[in-house]
Amino acid sequence: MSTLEIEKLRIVYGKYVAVDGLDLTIPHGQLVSLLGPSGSGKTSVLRAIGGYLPPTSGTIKVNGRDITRDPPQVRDMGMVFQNFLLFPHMSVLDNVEFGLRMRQVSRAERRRRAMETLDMVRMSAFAARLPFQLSGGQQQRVALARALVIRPAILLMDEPMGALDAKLRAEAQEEIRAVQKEVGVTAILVTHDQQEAMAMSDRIVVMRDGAILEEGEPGRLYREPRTAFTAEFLGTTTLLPVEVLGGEGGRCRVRHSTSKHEFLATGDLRAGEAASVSLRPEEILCSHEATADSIAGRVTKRMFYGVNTFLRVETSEAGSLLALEAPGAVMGEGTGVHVSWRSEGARVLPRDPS
Amino acid sequence: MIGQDDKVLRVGLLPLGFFFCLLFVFPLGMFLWTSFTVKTDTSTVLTLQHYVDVLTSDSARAALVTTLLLSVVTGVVSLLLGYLLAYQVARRGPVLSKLIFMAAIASLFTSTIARALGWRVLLAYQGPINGVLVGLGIVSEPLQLINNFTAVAIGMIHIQTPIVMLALIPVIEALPKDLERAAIGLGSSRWRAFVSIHLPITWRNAVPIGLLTVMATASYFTTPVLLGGGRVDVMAIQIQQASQVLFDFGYAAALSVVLVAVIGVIAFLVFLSTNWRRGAAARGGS
Ligand SMILES: Nc1ncnc2c1ncn2[C@@H]1O[C@H](COP(=O)(O)OP(=O)(O)O)[C@@H](O)[C@H]1O
Ligand SMILES: [Mg+2]
Repeated sequence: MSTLEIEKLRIVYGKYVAVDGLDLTIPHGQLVSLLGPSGSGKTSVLRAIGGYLPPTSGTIKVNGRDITRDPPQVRDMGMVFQNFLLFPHMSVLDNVEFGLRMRQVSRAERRRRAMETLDMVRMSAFAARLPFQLSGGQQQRVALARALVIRPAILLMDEPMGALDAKLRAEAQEEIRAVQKEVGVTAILVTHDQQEAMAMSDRIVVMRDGAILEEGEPGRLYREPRTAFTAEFLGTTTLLPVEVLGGEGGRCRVRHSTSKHEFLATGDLRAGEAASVSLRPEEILCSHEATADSIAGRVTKRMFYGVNTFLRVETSEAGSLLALEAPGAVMGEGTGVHVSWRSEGARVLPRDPS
Repeated sequence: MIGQDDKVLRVGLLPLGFFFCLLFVFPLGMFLWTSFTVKTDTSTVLTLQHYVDVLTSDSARAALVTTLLLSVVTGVVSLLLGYLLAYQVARRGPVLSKLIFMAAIASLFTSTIARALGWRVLLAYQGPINGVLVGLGIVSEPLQLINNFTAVAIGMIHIQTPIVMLALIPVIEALPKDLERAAIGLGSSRWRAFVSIHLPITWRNAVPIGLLTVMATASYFTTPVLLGGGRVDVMAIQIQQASQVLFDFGYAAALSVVLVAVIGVIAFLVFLSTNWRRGAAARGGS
């Protein structure tokens, strides 16, 4: 049972503030992703938790015990690095046994636990190999086994799929999540890949400029983001610049900043505020027939992605929109279409200051 | 375009090749030839006499042993010191690392003669080191620190260590810092991580650098002369004597060839025993 609590974490490199006043609690057994663009301070947070980087201030507690100043050796954290960093001169088995050897576990017990963990990641057949004889995906599984074999309080993963190609990545995501659930270990995943974060996590923490912008369960963050940044970072969306005209009961009337087109959107913002409306592609309906509140547009680009097809639609009322083609319909480039959306699908959000 | 560049490159190599042959291969060939021949008044005769002379000469054999001992001691000690220094430069903070780096460069800019003479002052009978030793009561009388094997070894190590250090920095930097962090995170102490991760991965790359030191030391002339005071007879001194005092070029050439051959054999054995190719493969090379 391991719960992680971080309070007011601050990390400064020279004069540069990389992490500022970060609070985060992770309950036992959960997998939480730190998601943010490169440079947002994710790795710094992870290193502070692992003990590789002393924070400037703040506290880190595991099960209520303050470990902020403990050296990494005694923290019981299992770390999976981006490039796996297996010890190149040791066999797979020796790599996995390393942590146990440092803990003075007896030889027989060491062997038993290492093989057991290798079994879990389906790598026991490769125990005698050297790391350079393994593929990237296999190396990653060994790295995971090496981190888990010590039964860590917390499993730390810094962009663990970063060195894998797209196809392997999806497999590895499924595998890591399955193993994490099986072991029941509390885990933190650092990633800049929103898809990965959504597919794997119990909770996502969106970071920007060294601070937490927003956090929540993946579905909630996707459907009801509280910031335009999150809406844009998680999945794809079109952000329309609008002014709020007025509203009540969770709905607003808004006006597009340039075209002055008016429509209803979901969200609580005060009249007069500059805001953005997020329109997810799947919320935009493209049809050949006009309806009461539809606007006219023209398909300028049709992008086939297999599962679905995206349409880039140019309109005069709402500018350029990214929409999903309805199943069964084919709307080639150049087709004139009528675009509409429900007010529930248009989320009005505070305009990003930047 | 590529073909064109290739041609230019090849033509450009021609004068280089010409000068290489004229100034290096030819004299070397002549030298080698000299070691296998004697000139009489009328003709040149092939002979192994010079080699027999070298191998039966007590002073040449003693010089060979001294040279090898000096080279190996210098190679091993400079490798150890150079490794520790390079590790500090590659792994410590920017201030300490820059300081060490600049000190190394500065000592490389000083001529080897000046450095040897510096050691003569430091190690002298009435010099500062003896002064401190006597002053602290560690010894009752000044020690004989100069004009012996130790003095020459110190001088050689001083010359080779910065070179070894510079050569080793990229070797150590090539190893990701996170590799040691991974070990430390798994419960290893810093020292354990150094011994069980850092050293086993890098030492194979360090050995050839140590070998270069051995080779360079084996042919050194100035330092043994200046710090040995005539009592440390190395091959370079023997060769100089033979060629410039006795004008026995055949004998001098044979001495050189023997030295090169012995060092070559040592290098070969070291490479063989360090399992060089397998090491390269384990590091991810081809
Ligand atoms: N050792 C360091 N020295 C100085 N600045 C650093 C160092 N490590 C990271 N930074 C800076 O801190 C910020 C956060 O870095 P990092 O935690 O690696 O972000 P992320 O993992 O989200 O990409 C970046 O702007 C980076 O340039
Ligand atoms: Mg990072």
